[in-house]
Formats: sequence, C-alpha cells, structure tokens
Amino acid sequence: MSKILIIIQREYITRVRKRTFIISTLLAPLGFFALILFSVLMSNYSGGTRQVAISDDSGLFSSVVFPDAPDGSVEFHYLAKGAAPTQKYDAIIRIPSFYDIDNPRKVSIGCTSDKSLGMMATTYINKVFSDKVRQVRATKMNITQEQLDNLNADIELSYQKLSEDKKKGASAIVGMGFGYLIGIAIYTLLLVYGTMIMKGVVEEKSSRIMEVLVSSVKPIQLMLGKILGIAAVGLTQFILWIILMSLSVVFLLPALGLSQAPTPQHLPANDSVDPQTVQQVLAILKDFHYGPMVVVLLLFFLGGFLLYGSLFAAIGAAGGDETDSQSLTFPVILPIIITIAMMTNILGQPDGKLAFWASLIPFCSPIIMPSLMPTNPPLWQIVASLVLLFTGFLLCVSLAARIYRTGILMYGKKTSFKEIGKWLFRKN
Amino acid sequence: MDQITLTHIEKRYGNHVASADVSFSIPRGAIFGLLGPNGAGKTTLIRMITRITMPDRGTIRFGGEDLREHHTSRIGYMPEERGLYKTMKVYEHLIYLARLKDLSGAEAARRVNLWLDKFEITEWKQKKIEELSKGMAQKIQFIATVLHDPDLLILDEPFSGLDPINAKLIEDEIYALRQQGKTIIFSTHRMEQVEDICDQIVLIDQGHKILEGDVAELKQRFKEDKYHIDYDGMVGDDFAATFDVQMVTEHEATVHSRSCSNDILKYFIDRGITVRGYSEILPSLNEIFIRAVNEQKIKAGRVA
Repeated sequence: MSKILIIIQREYITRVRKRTFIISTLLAPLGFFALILFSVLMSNYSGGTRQVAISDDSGLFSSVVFPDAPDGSVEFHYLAKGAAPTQKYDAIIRIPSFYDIDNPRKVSIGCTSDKSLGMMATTYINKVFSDKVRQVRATKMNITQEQLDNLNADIELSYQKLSEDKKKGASAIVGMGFGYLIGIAIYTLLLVYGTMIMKGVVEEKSSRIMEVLVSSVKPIQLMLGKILGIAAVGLTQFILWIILMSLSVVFLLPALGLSQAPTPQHLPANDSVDPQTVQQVLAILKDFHYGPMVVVLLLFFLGGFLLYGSLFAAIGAAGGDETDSQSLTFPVILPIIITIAMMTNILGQPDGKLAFWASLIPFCSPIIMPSLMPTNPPLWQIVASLVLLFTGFLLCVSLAARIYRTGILMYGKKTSFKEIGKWLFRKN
Repeated sequence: MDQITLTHIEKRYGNHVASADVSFSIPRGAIFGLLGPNGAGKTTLIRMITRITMPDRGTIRFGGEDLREHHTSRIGYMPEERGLYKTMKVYEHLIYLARLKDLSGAEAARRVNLWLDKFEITEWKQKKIEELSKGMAQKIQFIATVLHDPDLLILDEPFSGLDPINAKLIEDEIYALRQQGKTIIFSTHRMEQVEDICDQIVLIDQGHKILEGDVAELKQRFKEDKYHIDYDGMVGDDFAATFDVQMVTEHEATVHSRSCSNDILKYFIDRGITVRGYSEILPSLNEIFIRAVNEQKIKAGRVA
C-alpha cells in the first residue's frame, strides 16, 4: 500500500507542477469569465442605431406607434403614403395597399444597406411588428388594449415549486440544466484525464523505465498508483476551476458593474425574461441538497475514473507507441460518447426507463447518476448504482491488470485485439 | 552458501520455449556471467529471478529461502531496456526509485547524496534527465540499481552504450561491491566483455543450459594444448620435425603439444634462441560457446 502512495505522490506532483497544468487551470476560468464578459458586452453593444422606415400603403397602421428599441438599437420612421424616402434607411418595411390584416402574410422588409440588420435588431423588429398586427386586429375585433394585455399576461407561465417532495415544474427544468453541466464536466474529465493515463503508460513503456519499475513494484500497484494520482490531479483542477469561477463571478463581475446580470449568457438582453424568473431559478438552485450531491459526485467520479482509467491504462500498455494506442482507444471512448448522446433524453425524463437503466449500467452511471442528483432520485437507486459501479470497476481493473502486466513488457510488436484477448485468459 | 538457486525452471510463451529445465546456482559473493546469444532466454531467466514473471515450473530460492515478494527489495536490477523519466530531475528521480525499494525518505536522501558524491556528479542534482548525455544517464541508472544496497545485483548488458571511462568506473564499482560480499549477475551476449570479470558462468542457448562452471576450469577443459612462443632469431628445420607446429614466422610460433610444455622451452634454450614470451593458448569464452553449442547439436542429432 505504501508503495502505491509513493507512486500516487509522484504522478500527482510531477503533473501539478507542470507549466501546462498551471496555465490551463488559470486560463479556463479566465476563458469562462471572458465568455461572460463577451456575451454581456455583445448584448449591450448596439452596433449603431438601425434606421427603419415604415412605408404603409395600406393605411392600416396609421394610428399605430412603433416603439423604438429601449437600447436604442432600432429607430422607426414613418414615410408618408407614396412618398419617396428622404434619407438613407437601413431597412424599409413595405406594407402593400392590398395587405389583408385578417390573413396577414409575409411583409417584405427591404434592406437598403449591404450589412445585414443583425439578429438583435431583426428579432426586435419582428416582435414589434407582430405585436402591432395583433393590436390592429384586436381593434378591429373591438377588443380593448386592456383586454389584450390581459390576454397576453395569461400566456406567461408562473413557475412555482408545488411541494418539497415533488420534482415537477421549474425545479425540474433548472435541475436538468444543472445536471447537464455536471454530466458534461465529468465527461470532459474522464476523456481528458483518461487520455492522460494512457499517455503516461505509453511514456513509461517507450522511455523503457517500465522494467526498472516492475522489478520494484507489482504491475497492479503501478497501474493503480498512476490512475489514482492522475485522478487526484483531475479533482484538483476541477475544484480549482470551481473556486476560480465562483470568485470571478462574485468579485470581477460586480467590479465591472455587471452585477445585475448574474448569468447573462442565458439571458437575452431584451425583456423576454422576467427578472422574477431569475429570482426563482436562484431560489431553486439554493434549495438543492449540495452536501449529498457533492458526496455522490465524488464517489461516482472516483468509481468512473477507476473504471475507465484502468481501461485506458490497459490500452496504453498494449500499444507500442502513442499512435498505436490511439487506434485502440475507440472501444473505450465509445460508451462515454453514447452516454453523453443519451443525456438530453435522460434528463428530459429523469424518472423514465432510460434514465433508470443508464443510471445503473457501470459504463454510463458515472456520468448519469451525478447529473440526475438535482432531480432527487430515490436513495436505493443511488446505492444500487454505486454497488454496481464498484463491482464493475473491480472487474475492469482486474481485466485491465491482466492486459497491463503482459503489455508493459511487450516491445516491437503491433498489438491486435485478438492478441489482447489471449492475454486476458492467460494464467500467471 | 548460495545466493540464488534455480531448479528445473521452465517457462513457455505460447509455443515458444523460453526456458527449458534450467538449473544452476550462484554462490554468494560471486561475479556470475549469464551468457548466450540474443534471444537465448537470458532476460526471461532474469525476469523470473526479479519476480517480474513467474516460472511455469521449477523453484527459485533466494539466500536459502523460497523467493518471495519481499526479496525484491534485496535485488538490484538494471535491465537491458533501461530508461528514466525524462522530465524528472536527477535527485528526485533517484529518491523516487529508492523509496520504491522500501527506503525511508531520509535514508534515501542520505544514500543518493553519498553516491552522487562518490561519482562526483553532485552538480547534476537539479538537472532534468533529458538534459543528460547518454553516458551520464547510464551512471544515474547504475546508482539507481545499487542505492538500496542489494545483496544481489543483476546487470543486463551493463556495458552497452558506455564509453571506456564509464565502463571502467562501473567495473571498479562492481569489484568494490563484490568485496562487500554482494553477488553480481552479468548478462550479456558479448562474452569477451565479461571474460576477465566473471568467476563463474552459465551458457544458455535457445532456452537450454549448454554449459556451466568456473571460468578458469572451463578454459582448462576446452583448451587444445596449444602454446605460443615469441622469440628473437630463427628456428631451424628440425623445429617442425620435432613438434606439431601450427604456425611459425621469424619471431613467433604456435605449437600443439600433448607432452610436457617444458620440452618446447628446452628446444629454444638448447639452441640459444632468446625467448621473449611463452604462454599456453586458452580458448576464449566465445570459442568455448561455439564448440559447446556444436557438440550439443551433434549430440542432439545422434539422439534424433
């Protein structure tokens, strides 16, 4: 056991000390922060005011006011019937004289400049125009503006948690998003650090230190030491990322006067999101049981890492060099990719059959189970999944160890899957 | 007292027989040559002694006990395929390898410093392995092998890639270790390299033991009663008539003689020819190996 600790220590320290580790640990949150900043700036950036003329030949909209965009990105001008434009406009909305308000069809918006209007402006114009068409039709139907507002108000859903036990409504949606983030994070860690394990084994093999090492320690100790050491590196980076990102959100954003938009990349700059909804999302996030969630996350991360890590180690040992090993990785990466492809379906129905079975299969559960946690799955399901995962990894580790101990001493031969199959069933 | 004893060791890889019923023992304090051509099965035997692999059949005893896991910390092994972590620094790398051999951190540090001092390479301490020349790396590799003060030292092709100065350094170190009672196994296919170093050898070919024994004794056994004489002056025609002369020039001659070798000397003394040198020609290990393999083949042919 103590030898494993020495190996873990080396694997950990040599990697954490590396410049690439420090840089990537610092850069990722900076990139995250830059992304937030960028999207906030972009949404605030008007790109100049779009001058939009309305040429209403039908006269239907004569009594209607098209409001300018509050952020000043769009200004409306009204052209007199039949008059030629007096100035250069970015776009002209032509409403033909035969425009049928009861059967409104597409209205051409002629752009006069080469540059397009941009998505924000287009969205705004669309929204205003359909609002106004609705308003005109309402007037025609003798519906007052008040009644219309009432009608519109009812369309807005009011998100409320019904009770503590039921995972319905808004909390399920927020939970799904949150779970998805967790799933993606574990997926990334498994792939990035799994590949790192494989490269580490290949390095030991190609630098020929392997035989020196195995005369001192058992191959299984070497393999587990490497996997656990690199797992610790991955966890360190993960935790540092969370800390740095939270710090950047808590301190840097307010410092730049952006505190009113805590998660701006999810919130378009127009008024389609009710500030109340943001409050509710934050309240739901606050209500999650983070303690158990973190424990489960760590357990499944460790289990999944040992399971996949041992397979990556085996592949590293079987291949002669890096390209050789890369060609063997496909069967290991495949279940990870299938799992991530199923994520959306599973999280859409967290108590469905697919979610249930995927949360039990050891190849999927390290990603699926932690991402289901925000939706409060039953305890027995978590326990069953954990038991299966740890059985699975014991099995994988023992199989991988067989491949590993044979592979590490094989040189100059290209390894096929058939060959690996033979190693699995060889005694000794 | 034997340091290590192999009894009826057999190891197969699929249909390939890597070791076929090999038995030999190595006395404590010996410098022992494990010789044979490439692919003879030397590395397989070493891997079984270091417990990297297990024999299919047969037993290995270490210092009188059955070879067990804990014995590996008393063995120092420098494989032929050797290397170090390229990005690690010399000092921490040596500490790491020493600790894997069950040394405490403090003890490892003490010994690493001692050896670096001894080889006068203290200034390399903080250098990365990849910055070292091949010869430098070999020295580090040797230190790593002996750091934990092993009772048994196994060196697989130790001189390959070494310049003469470093080779001499390692050779001297090996003698010093023998002085301390350590047992050393040399494995090589370059037999001339170990001819003078080894006390005893075993010759392996195609997984089989061909020959074993004391080097001096083997040379006696395989010698062909040939003598070499260097002299000043000319021998007469009667020289060839008197002796079974293999080769003769103005200054030297090779003579085959079953009788007492002093007769040859007497011939020169009687005729007043100055003898500059006189020696019995003993076969090299290489020649012994070739002859032994051929004899084995003839024997096997007869059996078949």
